[in-house]
Amino acid sequence: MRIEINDLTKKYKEKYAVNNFSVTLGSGVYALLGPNGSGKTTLMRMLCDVLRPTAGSILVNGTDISVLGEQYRDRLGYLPQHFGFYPGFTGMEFMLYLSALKGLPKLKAQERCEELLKLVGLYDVRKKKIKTYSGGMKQRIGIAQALINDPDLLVLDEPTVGLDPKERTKFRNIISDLGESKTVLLSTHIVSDIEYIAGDILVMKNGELALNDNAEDICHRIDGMVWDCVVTPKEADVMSGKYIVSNIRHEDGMARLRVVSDTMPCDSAVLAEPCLEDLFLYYFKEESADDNTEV
Amino acid sequence: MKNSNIFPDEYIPAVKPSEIEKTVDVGQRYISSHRPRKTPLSRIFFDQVKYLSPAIWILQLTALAAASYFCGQLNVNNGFRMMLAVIPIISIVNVPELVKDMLFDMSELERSTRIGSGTVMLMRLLIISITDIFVLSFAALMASGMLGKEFIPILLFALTVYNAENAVCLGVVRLFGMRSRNSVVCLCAAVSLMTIMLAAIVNNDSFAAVSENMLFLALAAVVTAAAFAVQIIFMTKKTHFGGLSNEN
Repeated sequence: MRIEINDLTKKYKEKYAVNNFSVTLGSGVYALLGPNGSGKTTLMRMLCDVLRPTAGSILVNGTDISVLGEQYRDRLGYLPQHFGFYPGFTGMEFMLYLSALKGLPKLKAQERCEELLKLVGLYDVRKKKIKTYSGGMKQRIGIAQALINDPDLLVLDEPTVGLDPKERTKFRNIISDLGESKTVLLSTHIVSDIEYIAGDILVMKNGELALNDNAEDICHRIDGMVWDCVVTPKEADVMSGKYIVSNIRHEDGMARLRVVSDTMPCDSAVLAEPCLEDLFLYYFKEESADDNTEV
Repeated sequence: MKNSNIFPDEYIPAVKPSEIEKTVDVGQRYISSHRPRKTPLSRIFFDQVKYLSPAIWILQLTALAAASYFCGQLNVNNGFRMMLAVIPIISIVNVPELVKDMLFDMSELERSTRIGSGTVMLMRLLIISITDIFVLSFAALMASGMLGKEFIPILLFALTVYNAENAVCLGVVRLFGMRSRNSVVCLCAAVSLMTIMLAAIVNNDSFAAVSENMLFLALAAVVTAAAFAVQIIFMTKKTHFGGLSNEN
């Protein structure tokens, strides 16, 4: 499946949520990274045909998704950032309801739902009401419903929110496997998830595509800008206010700082290997102060 | 039985068992992954019947019971007045049920599926309307039979009130972007109460004047049905353009 996003724009009154966003996606795992309000969710909703763009187009193998309509949605799996369920729904009923909307024959739906509930570890609680599920369980059933129709394009908005480390690892493995043959686009604030599974990283800033590179090369953009410094706690306080500090660790009365800076922050600083977290902080230094990005 | 026995005149090449298994496997995979290109509307219809709130059916039965009760009351001697008392009972849950995907944050999930939330909403509307029209017709028939009035004017009046009530509720929900189930139910209850109040305050002469003008009744029924349909269309469009959904 080849997805071409051409000059996609969504405007709300005077504000551009997404502005002239263009990218081509093939099979593989793509991660969408950006601070809150950068337009990730709006982009994903347009990609899922949930929201109409103000301008631009999304082509699947050369045909616009508005023309393909249900043919396109038939090949799509979507996990929204926020989703609910009808009161009284059990886990199994929720899955069967969405299977019906996705057009699965009844017998196959039953089989597929059971298989997916086993995959996400909810088979034993399938007859319990969803309202009794924990946040992580609700997220897992959300992931399961996105896979019901064995989609060619999987769009996941903040899929790992609320999952514990074990569940996150399991989820990452599922996504990696799917990425072999399908297109997976996921947005997350958890940078470590992206480092593990994403082949390509799309960085969004103010609704625009700021960076697009593969996971290995993208960090090289800040080569020579990440420093490891060992300073006194007092000096650490001064440097925290002056530079982007991605980590502070106190050891033996001294502070070890990881600093992202164009210039050498102190005499004892030595260059370090940049990581995605450093890149994020570097590109979004203005937003990082009030952002809730997890690493 | 050997292949040569089945087709004695034909040369059948020897096939490796692994190749046969491979062919069977390909066939099985195709069958299990094959889905009909289109989901039949009848299937969507019956699926939605299963997932509608039981409150719809309970209130429709209540409305029928109320209609029978009112017909036996001497002081409710007017079919129009009786319909004004019965319609609010069935209308109170209609709009909350129609827009329940938005009230329970299911609209994005439904919209991204093959069938889409527009079709789902239309199916809900169809089921509710068919059963409501049945209830209203039955009530109008009782009223015309037991109170000795004409059936058609009573039915047209009932449809006018029914459509107007639903159009007003849906319009307010859309205009104010109401997303809370409680507030939508409260709104519908308030509109229903106002309809019941009308039943209490309008005098018999006004009803008599309306009943004699069939053209007016027919026009009113059509106009209010159009108003209801317009609200449905606006609601579907507004959600698709992001008006009622959570923004980034």
